[in-house]
Amino acid sequence: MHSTARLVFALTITCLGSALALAAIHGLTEAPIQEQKRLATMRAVQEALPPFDNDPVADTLQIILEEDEVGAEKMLTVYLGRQGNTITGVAFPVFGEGYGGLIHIMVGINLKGEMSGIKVLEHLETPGLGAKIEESSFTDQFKNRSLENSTLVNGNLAVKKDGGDLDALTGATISPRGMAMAASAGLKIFQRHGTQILGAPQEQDTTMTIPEVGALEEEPQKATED
Amino acid sequence: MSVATEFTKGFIRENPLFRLVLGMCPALAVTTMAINGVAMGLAATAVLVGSNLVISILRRFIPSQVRIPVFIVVIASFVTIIDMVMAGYFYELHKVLGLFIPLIVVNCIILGRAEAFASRNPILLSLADGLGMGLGFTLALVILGSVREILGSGTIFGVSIFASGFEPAVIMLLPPGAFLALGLLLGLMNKLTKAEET
Repeated sequence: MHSTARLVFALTITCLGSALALAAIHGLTEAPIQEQKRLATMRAVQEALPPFDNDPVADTLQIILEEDEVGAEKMLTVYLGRQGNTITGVAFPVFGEGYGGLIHIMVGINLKGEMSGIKVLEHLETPGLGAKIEESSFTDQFKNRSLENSTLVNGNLAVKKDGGDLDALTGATISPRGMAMAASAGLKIFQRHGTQILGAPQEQDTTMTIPEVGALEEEPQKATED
Repeated sequence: MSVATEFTKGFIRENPLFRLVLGMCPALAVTTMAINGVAMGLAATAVLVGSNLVISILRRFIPSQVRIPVFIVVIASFVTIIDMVMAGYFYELHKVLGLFIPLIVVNCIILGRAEAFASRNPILLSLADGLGMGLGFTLALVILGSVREILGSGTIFGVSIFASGFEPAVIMLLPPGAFLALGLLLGLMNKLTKAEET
């Protein structure tokens, strides 16, 4: 009897100690982690949007996509870039299927429906080959492209190999194809919801200060901690 | 058994990666770049030192029947702490290492040192053992990462070292390259230590 009680006691004390230590560290690191996530979103949005002078991470709009729209979260968070009080462009996360999994990008679109910039958020492409989609030498070709001024294949932007006009990468076709898919999804969403987005009220929406970016995936273990 | 021998044995004589061949999963997966090796190694070192310390302190109070669950709880706590600290202060590195940080929990080196060393030895020796083993693991990961980065991308710690004519062998960055590099390094290591013994 004594031995069983002792075992239970030892395990209980260990777990209790562990829980206390974790709670303390969680309390200390929670704010920095949120701040880092905000900064990461900010960096991506900054690269994607045309010049702005507001805080797009705090100035967001949530739109709900139709069933037939692909390449983005159904509840889409749109970051609004403004100069003065006028919207200059929008940015939102989209994704396309690459070689190793989904490629998540932040796509920025200006009022003319042209891409102002894109930034790869997350990908699982092959290092040295498909992973070059991250480099600006590749992403720069998306700048100023729209559904009107590019050669479309089945209504989407496409790489040259598929009959489009985007340059692929040496040794990697599937990753640039995924990028083309994601970018097309972004342009189409803007085409369909542009008026709804641009009609957004000017006051900042304070309920959405914590970025809920679908593309910036939460670390899986976070769910168990909460 | 002096503190110094316990500390230095992890580097070559009992190097976790090259001699004990433990912790292969993170070693093969994250070493596409030397910097990843540094980060992964140091994260594992921090966990190892912490868990060795706590387990050594508690070694007289842990009933042997439940020692493994207790070790796991202690190790998992340290891993979670490292994970949170990295997410808060080294966000980019944390993103690159991703899933492999939580997976330090199942790294055999940590539990191995807890069971084989920290649960039987006094605090100072256990600390030396943890630090030495951790740094030895880091060293091994950096060597592996450097070899793969040099051959696979033509860079070391992100700095290009070849003239533009160099064509990197992408296979070194892929999983097969990890096995190739590790196999060759293990062979080299065996040869070197053999020469030392005779």
